[in-house]
Amino acid sequence: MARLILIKSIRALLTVMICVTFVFIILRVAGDPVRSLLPDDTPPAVLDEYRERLGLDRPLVEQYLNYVVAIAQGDFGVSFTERRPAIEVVRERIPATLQLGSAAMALALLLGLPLGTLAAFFRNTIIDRAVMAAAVFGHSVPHFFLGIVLILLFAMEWRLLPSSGYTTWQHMILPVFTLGTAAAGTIARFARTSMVEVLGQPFVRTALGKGASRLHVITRHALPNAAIPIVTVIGFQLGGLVGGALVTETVFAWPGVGRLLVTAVGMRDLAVVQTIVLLVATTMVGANYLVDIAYGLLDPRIRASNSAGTPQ
Amino acid sequence: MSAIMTAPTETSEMPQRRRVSLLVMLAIGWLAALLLVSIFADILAPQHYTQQNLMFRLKPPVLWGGSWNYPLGTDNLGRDMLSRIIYAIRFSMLIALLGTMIGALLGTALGAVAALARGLVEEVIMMMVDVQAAVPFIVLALAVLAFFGNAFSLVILIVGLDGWERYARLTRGLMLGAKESGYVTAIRMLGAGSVRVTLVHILPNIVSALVVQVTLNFPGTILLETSLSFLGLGVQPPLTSLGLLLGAGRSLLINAWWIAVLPGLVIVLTTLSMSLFGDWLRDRLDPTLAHS
Repeated sequence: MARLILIKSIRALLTVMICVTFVFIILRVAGDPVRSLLPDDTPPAVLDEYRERLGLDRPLVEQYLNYVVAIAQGDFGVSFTERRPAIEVVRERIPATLQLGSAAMALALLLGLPLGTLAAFFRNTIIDRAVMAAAVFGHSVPHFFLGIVLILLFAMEWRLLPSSGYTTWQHMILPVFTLGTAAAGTIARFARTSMVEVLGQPFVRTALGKGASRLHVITRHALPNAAIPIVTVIGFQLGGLVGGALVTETVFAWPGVGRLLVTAVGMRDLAVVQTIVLLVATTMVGANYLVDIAYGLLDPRIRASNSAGTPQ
Repeated sequence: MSAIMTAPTETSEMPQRRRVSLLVMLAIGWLAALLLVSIFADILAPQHYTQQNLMFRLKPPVLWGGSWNYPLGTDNLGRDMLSRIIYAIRFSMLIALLGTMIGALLGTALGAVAALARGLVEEVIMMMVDVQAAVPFIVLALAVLAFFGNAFSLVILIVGLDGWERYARLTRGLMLGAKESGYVTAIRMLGAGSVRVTLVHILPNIVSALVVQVTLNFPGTILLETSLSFLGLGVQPPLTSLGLLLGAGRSLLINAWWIAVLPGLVIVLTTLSMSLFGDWLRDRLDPTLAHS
């Protein structure tokens, strides 16, 4: 287990380093930052002075090292639209995004797991077909369209819920539903697949044969064994959730990181963009890392195979 | 992963595979129609998609009290929605097709290189695959667009890069599997070189799995382009795309719901059809993928 954690940790760190390097390369390839900071008619002497002050006249390797050190110290540059550190601008938006994302994830799990299990248990019946049709549909409807239809119906036509903003709990309903639906569809599909596989195993038949109740068999015998693929897909869904949050937050004017990224890209506020990219990358790598560790905890076989020296 | 080792087909589902279900037929029909519309957009569209007619602004579709002159209504500049949607289908399909091709070619090539070269090259490629899989692509796409602007060709390229890692992973896995198989060993003994074995013998054997992957990736590609365009960061006016139309219709929702809803419906039907078609194709061509 210790070996597994070590390998996974090194991999996670390397991945983050590659992301940092990627952003650095893009920043440098994208052109002279001084030119985008200063007006077009700035005299060349002033440009040179700025380059020197920002360390842009140094060798590339030195610039790269300085960049990495600055990032490690939490210095992500200054947002030129807000004229304060980019990390501050981003940090203020994190709670709103976490609130939306965790509620959507909770909804996706609460809908997806039971429905997928239900479909697996009643395989090839009308229940199964209905659940799977709904899952494919939820997966195929883009966030922006679902959001707009919900606004049209619930906010404009029936005037039941607010269409944008962040102040009350009613404001959460439409965005959370928009963001959670697609993830619920995917989770339901995966839950069904892995449950179908587990339900076909001899130990499930044995348990049922012993006279254990169906609910007991599902919750105690089948679910723990189906947990691994489900945990994997939850890890994948985090990525989808981040992408979906971009769109959902924009549709509902939700003051989160996703909407900030969209406006920052539109304004070419590079410091904010790179902060968010690195934040998302680190979060995702961290989440995948935890999922990998969770595997080891959930399945003793993976622990064993890894300590035997065959990672992956 | 263990799914591959279990029996790929279940007897209870066998009869369904034999005939094409109505739903799949509808899906294929819709996709074929989209393809025709994209090709013949110039003939089919009643007007040019940028032609304005300020006398007829925000006219509803014909079923909601509009006229047959504008069967799907008009937008805030009096442009014919039917024509705009037809051209948007052309642009969105073009981007999705080109993008899918870029991703498939790049990913397959890198996956093949990884499987052939092994060693350090393989490690580096698989590391890139991990990075790509770890970071949500739309975030990277937005970053690149922020730094380089949103030229049409760049949008296609970015959309194309989405999903390359899935092809790479799949190709590498399949090729490593094929290299161990009897037929490759036999051909090698006959004296065929690596390149020849790969291109002439292994590739035809794994191509069906790759085709399935293409159809499974296609909806994602459409969604990425329409999302970017919806956010105003993808295709730029005067060009058009289904996402762009939807984004433009968002601010007019109170007065004219059809401007946003109609392109949205086209997107949903397209991704839905492609998913159904992809699932069906996967069951037909490649039972080993059926559970993944």
